[in-house]
Amino acid sequence: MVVVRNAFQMERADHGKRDEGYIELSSSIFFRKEDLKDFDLSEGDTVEISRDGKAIRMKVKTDDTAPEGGAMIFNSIYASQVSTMDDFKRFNAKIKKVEGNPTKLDEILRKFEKK
Amino acid sequence: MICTGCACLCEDIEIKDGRVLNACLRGSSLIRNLNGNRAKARVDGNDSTVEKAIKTASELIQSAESPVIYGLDTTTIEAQSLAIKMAEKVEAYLDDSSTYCMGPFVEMILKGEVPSTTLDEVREKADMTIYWGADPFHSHPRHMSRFTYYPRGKFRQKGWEEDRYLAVIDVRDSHTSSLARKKVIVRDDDDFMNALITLLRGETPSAYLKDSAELVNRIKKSEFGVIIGGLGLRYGLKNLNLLRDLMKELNQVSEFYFIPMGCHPNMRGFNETLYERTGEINRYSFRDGRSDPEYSFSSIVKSGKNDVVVVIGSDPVSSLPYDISSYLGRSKLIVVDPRETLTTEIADVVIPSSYSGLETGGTMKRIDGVEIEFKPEKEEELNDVYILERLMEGV
Repeated sequence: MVVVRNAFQMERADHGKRDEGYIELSSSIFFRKEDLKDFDLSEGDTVEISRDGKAIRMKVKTDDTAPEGGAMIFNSIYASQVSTMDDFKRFNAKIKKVEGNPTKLDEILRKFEKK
Repeated sequence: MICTGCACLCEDIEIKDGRVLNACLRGSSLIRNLNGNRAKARVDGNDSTVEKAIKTASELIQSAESPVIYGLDTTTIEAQSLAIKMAEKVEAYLDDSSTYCMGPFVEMILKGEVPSTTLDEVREKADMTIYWGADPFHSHPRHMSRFTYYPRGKFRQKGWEEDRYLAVIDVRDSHTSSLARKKVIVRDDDDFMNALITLLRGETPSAYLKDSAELVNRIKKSEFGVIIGGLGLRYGLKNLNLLRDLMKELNQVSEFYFIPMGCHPNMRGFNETLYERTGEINRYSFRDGRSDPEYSFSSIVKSGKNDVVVVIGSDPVSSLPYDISSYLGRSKLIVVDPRETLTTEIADVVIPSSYSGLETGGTMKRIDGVEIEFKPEKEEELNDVYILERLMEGV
């Protein structure tokens, strides 16, 4: 998994990080078209990305700049749910097809509520 | 107008009939949306006056036993200097995003361990540019057109068609690599850097022979080259000594420089301002009088040593791993920002500010260390300098 910057997503961030377009791009995971079969996935599927007890659901999309045999996500609070300080930009994670929709932003933010 | 959309700080932006001219997608979006999504003063989740928010923040800082100040990469050097003074006064931990970004590279440059140059020199002289772990097409969309590849330089009049050679080294194909004469997909940055060093020393590398040989042959033909290192290199390169060795070997066969690809408009300014004051570039404890990895924002917040966090112009809830950001809610959180962010959503105190450079003047340092002065037509009174001065009065 690689985490990258994307100008189109950053452009949406200027409308606020609750902007629908920003959230849609941030909650997407990109594969090369030719890799989808190997992962047994189709465009539009929802997948759960997990590692070390952390998980996030994202929508599958295709992009020819995704790494071969891997996946690409954009830098955002979604990526931050599964990245760590040591491997901020590139890490291994498990990907599994699941039912339902990508994780909602409020679902993530609820984890920050003061106890 | 000068754009603060990224660390290129493009100085040729014009506004005509409401249209933003010359800016890239990122810059024009930032400028067009300046008035949207602005932060509102809040205390404990309730709307407040700015005065009350500043007073509450000041009291929190004053009574803190162990405050930490973080961010500052989007504000001016004048505001950064005040934040450093405040950190000194209250013996705070002080850090910025360079710790997780270009910090190690900037430090090597400031300490003279790696030769660097300005982007203006690159524009006039460079016949070879290597982007390593960087995709300026998305992160700095005018980097190639203003400085490295497309311009007609003083000594590169035939431009990219004949006079300039672009290589991209990355873990994946990118929109930038699709424009390059040579792209190398690497699995391990250390291995590829080692291969280049080995070849430059006249020996045969054990990996990446074909790609490294092709690149070294081209390097040997170049007169003035630059490696632009991005976050991909920062996190891919495990042994930083390799970069020192590579730059040394490159300068045996050509004239070669390194420029880090920082994203925030004034991260370099923070590093240099703190360096002038303390001899260190980030993760500094004014209580202990030194810099250390254990004083990085992430380490301090995770250790729970802090009781108040002051975030200025940054959104760590979004940008830092949840392993770290999840600790932000455990102490009092003060945010100074021109816009609402995911961090303002969980803050105890929000102080709205103006956009540094766009709505208030001052100086910043471009990605290559060149100082840029901002003189916007209108000056907003409620800005980072004003807010920091007010907070300083209280402590």
